[in-house]
Amino acid sequence: MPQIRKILIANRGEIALRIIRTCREMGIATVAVYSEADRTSPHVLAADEALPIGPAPSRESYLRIDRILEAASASGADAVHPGYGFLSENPLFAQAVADARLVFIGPSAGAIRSMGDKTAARALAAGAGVPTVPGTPGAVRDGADARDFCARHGYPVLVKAAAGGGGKGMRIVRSGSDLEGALRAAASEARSAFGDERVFLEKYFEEPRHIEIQILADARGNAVHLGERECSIQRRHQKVIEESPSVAVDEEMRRRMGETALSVARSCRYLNAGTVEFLVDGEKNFYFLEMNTRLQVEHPVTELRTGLDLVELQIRVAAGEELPLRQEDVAFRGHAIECRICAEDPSNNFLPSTGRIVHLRTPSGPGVRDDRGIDEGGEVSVYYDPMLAKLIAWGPTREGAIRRLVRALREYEVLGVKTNISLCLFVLEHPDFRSGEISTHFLQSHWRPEPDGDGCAGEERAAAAVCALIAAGAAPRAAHAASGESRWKEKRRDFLRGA
Amino acid sequence: MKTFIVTIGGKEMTVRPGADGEVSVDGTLCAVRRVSDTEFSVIEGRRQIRVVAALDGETYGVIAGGRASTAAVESERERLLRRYGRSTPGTGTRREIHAPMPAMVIRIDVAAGDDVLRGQPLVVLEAMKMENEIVSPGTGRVKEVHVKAGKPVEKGELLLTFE
Repeated sequence: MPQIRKILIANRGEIALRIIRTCREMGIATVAVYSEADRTSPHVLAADEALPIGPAPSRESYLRIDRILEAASASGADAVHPGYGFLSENPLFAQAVADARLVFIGPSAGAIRSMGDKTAARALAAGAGVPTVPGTPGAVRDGADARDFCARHGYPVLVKAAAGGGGKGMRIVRSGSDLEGALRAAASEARSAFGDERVFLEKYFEEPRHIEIQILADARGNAVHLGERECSIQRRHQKVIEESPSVAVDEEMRRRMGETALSVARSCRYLNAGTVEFLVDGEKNFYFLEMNTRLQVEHPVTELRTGLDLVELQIRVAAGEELPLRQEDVAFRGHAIECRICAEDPSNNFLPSTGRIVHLRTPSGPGVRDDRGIDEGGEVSVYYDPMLAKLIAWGPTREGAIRRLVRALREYEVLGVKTNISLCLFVLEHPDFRSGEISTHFLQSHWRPEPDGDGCAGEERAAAAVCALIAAGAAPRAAHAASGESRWKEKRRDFLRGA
Repeated sequence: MKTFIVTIGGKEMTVRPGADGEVSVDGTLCAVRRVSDTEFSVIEGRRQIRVVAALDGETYGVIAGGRASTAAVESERERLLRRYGRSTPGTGTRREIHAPMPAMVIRIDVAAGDDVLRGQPLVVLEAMKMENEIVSPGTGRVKEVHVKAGKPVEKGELLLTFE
C-alpha cells in the first residue's frame, strides 16, 4: 500500500486551498504550484512548499504536464491531486503521473479516457443498461450528418463538444436554419477550449432538471453513492446554484439513481470520487448525461449533508485503503445549498469583471461555509476562471438552508469587481425557486437584469450620502476607527500630506 | 460645501454634505461615520445602514444594506458643464464602445454604416475561456469598427464608434 506523506496540488484558487486544508488535518505536507500571476495567491500562501511552473496563461503553466511533473519530482511528493478543471480529466496527465511512480488521486487514465469522450461514455453506459438521451452515435462529420439526425428526432437539438465540459462548446438549435451556424460556433469554441473541434448532437428536452449522483469507489471493489445534487439553476450551461436533496427526488428514486450511477462506474472499473450526471424530465425519467471523473466544484453540498470529507476519502482510497463505509452507513442530514460567486456583471450580459479586490468581507455564523480562492488586495485576472468563491449553507430544512444562504449573501461584500451576488439573491428569493419549481431554463425564463440599485429608498439615500462625502473629500473618521489602523500609520500619512 | 447629484440605478438624488458627516439627501438628513477606508455607518432617524464604497474608475462601487450598485457622482458645476458641453460616457448617449477586459476578438457582427438596435450583438470577445457578446447599449448607426477579428485587445481599447 503506497504511503502518502506529501501531496502536490496541480491546481490553484479555492480548490487548491480546499485540498490543502484536508491535507493539514491528515498531517500530509502540501506542495503548491504557481504561475507568474499567482506568486502571492492564497493557495501558495497556504502551502508548505511552492514551485513556479511558468507564465500566467494556463496553457503555459497549469496545463503543462511536464512542468508539474518536474515540480513533483523536485519536491519529492508521493501523490498528485488534480482538483477540478485544468488537467483533472486529461488521461495523459493521469498516465504521466502513474508513469512517474506517483499516486494520482483520481481514477485510472483508462477510466478517464472512456468517460472523457462523451460519445464513447454514452455507448458504454447504454451497454451497461443505463438509459441515455438519444444522440448521434459519434461526432458529426458534416451538416448533412447533423440534418439527418434532426430529421429523425426533431428539434430542438443540442450541439455539444465531444471533449467538452463546463458548458463550453454547447449550442441549442431550435430550427434547421440555425443548425449550420451553431455547428460552426460550437466547433470554434470547442477548438479553443479543448483543442478538439469534434461535436455531436443530442435530443434536447425543454424543461429538464439536472441531477447528479456522487459516487466513491475503492480499489477493493467497494463502491457507494452519496446521494444526489440538483444543479438545475444554470446560466449558459454553467451551474450557479446547487442543492441536496433535490425536491424532485424521493427515497425510491434516489436508490434507483444511485444504483444506476454505480453501474456506470462499474462499467469503466472506476476508482476514487466521481459524479454521474443525469437529465431528469417532467415524468421523473432520468437519462445518463456524462460522468465527471474528478472532484466536482459543488462537492461541499454533499459534504454538509453527509458529514463526510470527500477529499480525505479520495486520499485514503488513492492510498489503497478500504472505503470506511458501506451504503447502509451513508446517512443524510438536513439540506445544503451552494451558490457560486463569480466576478461578472449580471446587469451587463454577464461580462467577466476583472480588477483588484479593494474590499472583501465574508459571512460567517451558524451553518455557513465560504470556500474562497481570493483575498482582499488580490487581482481577478483574465487568465483564470471568474469564480471567486462558493458559499454554502446548511439548514435542517430546505427553507432553513435558503434563509441562511440569503442572510450570508447579504453579508458578502466585494468591491473592485462586479459580482453575481444579486443574481444569486434573485434566484433564492424567487417564489418558483422557493416552491422547488425549477428547471435548467429557470434563469432564461425568469432573470431580467434590473437596473442596479433597484433597492429600497433608505439604502439608496445612504449609498448616495457616502459617495458624495467621499467625492467631497469630507468623510469623517469615527473616534474609534483609528484602532483599525495604527496611530503611527495615521500620523505618517498626515505627515506625508504636510498636515 | 458643494452640492452633488448622485445617480444610482437611474435615480438621481441631490446630496449636500454638511459638517461632521451630516448629509442631506433630497432633503432627508443622514449621519455618516467612516469606520475604515471602505466602510461606513449611516444613521437616518434611528435606522442604521452599513455601507461600503470605493471609487472604481469613473463611478463608485457601493453596497448598502447588502445590495450592490454603481453610483455616479457629479458636482452641480460638472453637471452644468456637461449639459452645455459634450456628453460623458456612462451618463448620456454612448458613442464609443470599449473592450471591458483584455480579450481576443472572435467575431465582428456589424460594419460601418449598419443600423443597430439596443441589445443587438456587435462584437464577440473571448476571455476567461468564454465567448462574450458585446451588445449595443442603444439604437444608432455604426460609424467605424476599430478592431479586427482574430486580434487581441487590451482592456479599455476602442472597439467601435457610433455616429
